[in-house]
Amino acid sequence: MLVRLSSMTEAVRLKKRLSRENLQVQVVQNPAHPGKRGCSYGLEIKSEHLPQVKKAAADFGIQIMGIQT
Amino acid sequence: MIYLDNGATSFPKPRIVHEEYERCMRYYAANAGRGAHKRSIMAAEKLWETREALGTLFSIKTPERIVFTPNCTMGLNMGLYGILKSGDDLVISNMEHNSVYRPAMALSQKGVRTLFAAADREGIVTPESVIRQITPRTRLVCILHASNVSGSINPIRQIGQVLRRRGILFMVDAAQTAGCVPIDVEADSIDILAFPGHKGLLGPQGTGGLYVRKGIDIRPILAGGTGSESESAFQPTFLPDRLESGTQNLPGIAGLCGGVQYVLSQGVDAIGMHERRLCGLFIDRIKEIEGVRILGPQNIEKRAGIVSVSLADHDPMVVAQKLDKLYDIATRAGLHCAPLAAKTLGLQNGSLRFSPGIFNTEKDMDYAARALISILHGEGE
Repeated sequence: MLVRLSSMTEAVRLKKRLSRENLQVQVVQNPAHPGKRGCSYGLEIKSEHLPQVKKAAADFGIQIMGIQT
Repeated sequence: MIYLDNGATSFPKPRIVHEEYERCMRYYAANAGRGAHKRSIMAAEKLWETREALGTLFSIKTPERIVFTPNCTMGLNMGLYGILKSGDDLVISNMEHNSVYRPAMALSQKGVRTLFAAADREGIVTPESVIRQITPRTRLVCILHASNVSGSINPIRQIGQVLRRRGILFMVDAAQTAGCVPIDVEADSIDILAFPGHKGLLGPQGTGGLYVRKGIDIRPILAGGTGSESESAFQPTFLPDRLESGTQNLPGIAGLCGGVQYVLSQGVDAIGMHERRLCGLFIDRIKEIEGVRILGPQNIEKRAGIVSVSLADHDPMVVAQKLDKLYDIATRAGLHCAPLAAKTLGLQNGSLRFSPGIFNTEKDMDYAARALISILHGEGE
């Protein structure tokens, strides 16, 4: 599952927070998406971790731009 | 060599700074936020780690609002140009470095009026002197935390509290205090903090940072690639990207990370105490010399690690040169890029500055005092 974020900074920030919760995620560059041609970054996660990822993002005020399975 | 010019840049650097710099150069000096291969992610993680370390140091709970800059001067310019517009009033002190004074004067050509809060005879700017300059149009107050000439530490906490109550933005120039005088952006009511990486934070030259409190938008003075929202013709709205265009000085920032970690391990209070103690020892040795005026506060607790002297009968530049050539002691002489401070302190031909750092010792200060005394008594004529 891909959680789309905006920037690399957001991605590594979330990754670090999730690793403290023993969640291993991978920072990736988001593939091209309709309406979104430019650079953006996201996290590859296991789908069962989505609630934790959403909570962490919300805690940081990071907007999730989209979720792709 | 005895290096007493830490006010210009710190030297030497702790080993961890060299190691971090070299490790970056050798193993992962890719471009953060440009691509997503392993090394670019490692690069991005180092940038984040550095922001977090700086956040710990300055009690900043939002490290994403720490923007990397090549030095403190750039951060100050970003703050001044990014906040002020025609019709605004700016208050600075009459002790400011040219990194504030010059952009302020340039902005005066664009309709920003600058008013000067007067320092007292010890070079300290009080909240009252700041308040006296505030007008209904005051948008920003920018004050140096400590003077690079007199070493005087300003009461930024009291100044910040006064300004916060009045809804006036407060920018602090921490060039001489980051890493050696405690700074807490919340307790000190600091809205914008500019700092160098290469002085008290012990990082390489070419590093620095700017913290911008949440809720404050600074207009970018540089636009370009940020590795985010690149389909847009405009800068992103979120930090740090909005104010970080172009490739960062990653090896430098990696070194800065090491420097900050070293400072945190030693403790800012301990470092400051060490530097003040060295200054105190030096002052005790030279205060009775005829023709030597020690600038700044008598109370050593109100002083950053700087002792500048004005010399009645000697050119400070000549004395600095003799200290270097005869004794291998590095100092700085002249106006210190702070003509405002020189005028405020009544310096006709500048001053001679001794600025010890974390790696200087009592022996260094004793040697420097003896060297100064010998030169003032005619050695090297």
